[in-house]
Amino acid sequence: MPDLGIVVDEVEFPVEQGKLREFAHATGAADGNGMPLTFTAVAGHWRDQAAMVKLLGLDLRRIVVGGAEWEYHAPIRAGDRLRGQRVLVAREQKKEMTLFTLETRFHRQDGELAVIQRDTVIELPRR
Amino acid sequence: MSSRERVTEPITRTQIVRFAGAAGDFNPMHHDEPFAQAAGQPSVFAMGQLTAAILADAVAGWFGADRVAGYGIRFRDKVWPGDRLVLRAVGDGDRWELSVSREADGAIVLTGWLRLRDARA
Repeated sequence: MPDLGIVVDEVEFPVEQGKLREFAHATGAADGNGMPLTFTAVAGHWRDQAAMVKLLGLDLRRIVVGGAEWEYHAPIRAGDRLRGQRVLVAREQKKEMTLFTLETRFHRQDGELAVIQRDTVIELPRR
Repeated sequence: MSSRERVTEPITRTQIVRFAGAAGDFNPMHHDEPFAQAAGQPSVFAMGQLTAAILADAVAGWFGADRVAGYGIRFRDKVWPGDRLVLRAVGDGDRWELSVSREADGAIVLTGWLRLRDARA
């Protein structure tokens, strides 16, 4: 079992106009709603989820994503670069399930903290 | 307490594939029908992050994206191609409860919360 505070991975990527438009279109977004609130989900392009599962010692067949939350600190615009480390911040046993909370603090190229995203990954019990 | 509500168009496979490209989620359960059926599912289904993004867009439209201080969601059930989703916010001031349900049977597929920067509503 890895310790709390372990850095799972680190991403750095550009906020691209084309990716932004594709993201907005996929959700049927109304024009003028600005930066999609969940846009940091695009970090998935820059991550190796299989490596995360392996590092945490999880069984991929029993993994589900439970949920996510975002805290907004400073605006993000097309042309920015975001960088963030994904850190294991909590582990909780609920009945036979194990809940892992992974936190990524996304910083802009100027160092400003822009968004904190927390993902809950659940490992279901063996059947 | 007041509320906001919007009903979406039916979710399409094209939309799911587009979101896979947008967000980088290429789990075959979401785009490869034979794979999903071999795994015992009736068809492909939407990634939870797509539903989260659809609700987030409604939230941005209702309240303004720059007023949002925090947004959180929990996935409750799968969303299938053809589902129309009922997006809902209930609350007042700076705290709102969010939900997404399937229009056809009322099943809750996602619950969540929203925190705004000021009490203007």
